Amino acid sequence: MVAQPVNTEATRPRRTILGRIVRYLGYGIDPLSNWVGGSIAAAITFFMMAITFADVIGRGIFNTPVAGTLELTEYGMGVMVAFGIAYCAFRKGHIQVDIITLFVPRKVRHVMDMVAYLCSAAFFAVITWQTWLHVWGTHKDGLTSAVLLIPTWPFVLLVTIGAAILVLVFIRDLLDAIDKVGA
Amino acid sequence: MEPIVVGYLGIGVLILLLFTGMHIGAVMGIIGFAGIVYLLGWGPGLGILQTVPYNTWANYNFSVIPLFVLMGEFCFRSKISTDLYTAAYKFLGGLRGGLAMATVGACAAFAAVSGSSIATAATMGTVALPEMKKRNYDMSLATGSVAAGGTLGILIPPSVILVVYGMLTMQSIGTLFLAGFVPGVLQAILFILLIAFICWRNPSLGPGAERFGWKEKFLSLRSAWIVVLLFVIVIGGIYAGWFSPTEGAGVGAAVAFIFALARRTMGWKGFRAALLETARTSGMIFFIMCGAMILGYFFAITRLPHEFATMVSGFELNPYVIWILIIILYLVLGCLMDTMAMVLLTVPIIFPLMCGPAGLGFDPIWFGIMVVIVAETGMITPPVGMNLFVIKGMAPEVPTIQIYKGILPYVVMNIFILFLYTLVPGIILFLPALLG
Repeated sequence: MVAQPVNTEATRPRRTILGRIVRYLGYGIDPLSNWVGGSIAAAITFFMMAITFADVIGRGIFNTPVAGTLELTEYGMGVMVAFGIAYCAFRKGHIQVDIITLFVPRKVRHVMDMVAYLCSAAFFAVITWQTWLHVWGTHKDGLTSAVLLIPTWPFVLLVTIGAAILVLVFIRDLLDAIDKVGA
Repeated sequence: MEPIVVGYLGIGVLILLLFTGMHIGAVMGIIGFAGIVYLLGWGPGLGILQTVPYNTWANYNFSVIPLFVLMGEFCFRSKISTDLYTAAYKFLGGLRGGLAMATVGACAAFAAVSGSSIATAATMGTVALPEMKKRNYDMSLATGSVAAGGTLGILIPPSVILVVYGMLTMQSIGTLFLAGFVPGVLQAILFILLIAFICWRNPSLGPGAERFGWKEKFLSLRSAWIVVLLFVIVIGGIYAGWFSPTEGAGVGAAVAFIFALARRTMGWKGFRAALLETARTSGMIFFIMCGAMILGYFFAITRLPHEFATMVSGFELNPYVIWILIIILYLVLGCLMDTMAMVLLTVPIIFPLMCGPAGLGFDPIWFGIMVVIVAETGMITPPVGMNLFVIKGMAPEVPTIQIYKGILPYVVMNIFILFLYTLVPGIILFLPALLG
């Protein structure tokens, strides 16, 4: 996982019109996925660790568990993972089988990249859309957590936002790949 | 079309698309979604996409994955790996080939707190390779020991991959951890003996370094003890019933964090990097996980895993012949993807065949450990095992062919180990039976 080659080409758009669009998109999408996405995912991970530890210690030593650890972790996981996937996409960390892409001409490789980003963007666009519907569903049903009675829908909404950022990252990468095919 | 035919077709397209370089998670998800839409229509297909991703991500039990990753990250960023290597070096360095043995030993110890073979290899490589170069070690031997030591990273508990296997197959994570312990330690010992044998045949490959007195040897354990402590707290706590495996991950990460604070070796930068790296790795795992879940629903509708198991059992081949074919399949896959992706991709189909009610009757715990060993062997098998690329990246001056030469004995050893465990499954199963 550490060894994933960083695609430096993709981070440096060309000086074409499409390349400019890619760069301008990057001004908005990069901080969203890198800074916002990474920070939120990191903060929640630390929070989940702390609350689990506090719960175990509280239960074991002071006989007072932290109320709602389970549901807070559950909500935390959803948001953390959604932003984590977006952050991972920014870092080009998602796993692809590159055995063939390594041995084909550059142009073919960019076409393959294009297809890959198009599929991932489309796939997560549908997931974002459906999760957005899920926000309304959970809102309408007034779904809450079992112990602390925290409404579910804001967390589903955060997952939707994370997924939407992910789609944006993939679209940026897609446009970049299209631009490189033309090179 | 019959659902089962659609299922097989799905697998065919899946394999094809994987090679086009698409994201593995997206390929699995898209095939699953398309299959469900074809068989049941748009409504159920979109319904799956509405519930499955959210429920896969917002899942309490899965919190064990990021938290175990975080524990390994904290240990890594607080530079425990360096201390482990120093300790192993002081104990083994004086022997012939001792530095290579120390690498394997330190990898095994680091494995107790980390769950990824590439991370273990990368971590130890940066410490051990320069040291061995300085002592005029044969670089074949040096790079081989790092690449092979890295594969120990996954078996010795706590192991993220065994957690994922347990969740995919509904096996107890505690039992899997127990089962991984003996094979992991045994493998480390066999690797060390292998190095001793290689250097006994040709002493110039790994000249002995200076020896240290017992006082120094034990002083070097000063900070290595934290690894033992972490291991005992996490694994012991799970078995004593103080907390569940899920909570154990959180406790382990917290203890590692407190330790890193006390040592003052991590710093704000390391802390940030540990959390971000955890976010990245978790993102990578859960992308594939989401795809695997959607694909799983599709397979469930087609009943493919069950039918496939029934069909293969119907051939009435010797089960061990099929097992050998599966081993070969994993060795090939090891060239294409890392162990986590391999397990998520293959276990839903191969598990029912090996261990399901219509299958060949192998033990599910045993198979979990074997999948990990065989997948790890794939990671170091020339010419394209993924660990080898990591090593090549760290030691670019060593010719690739030298790295291959260095790793080959370990591949042979691993295949020997696979045969041994196949013939004597008790080596894996006696500890869980004893304590479970």
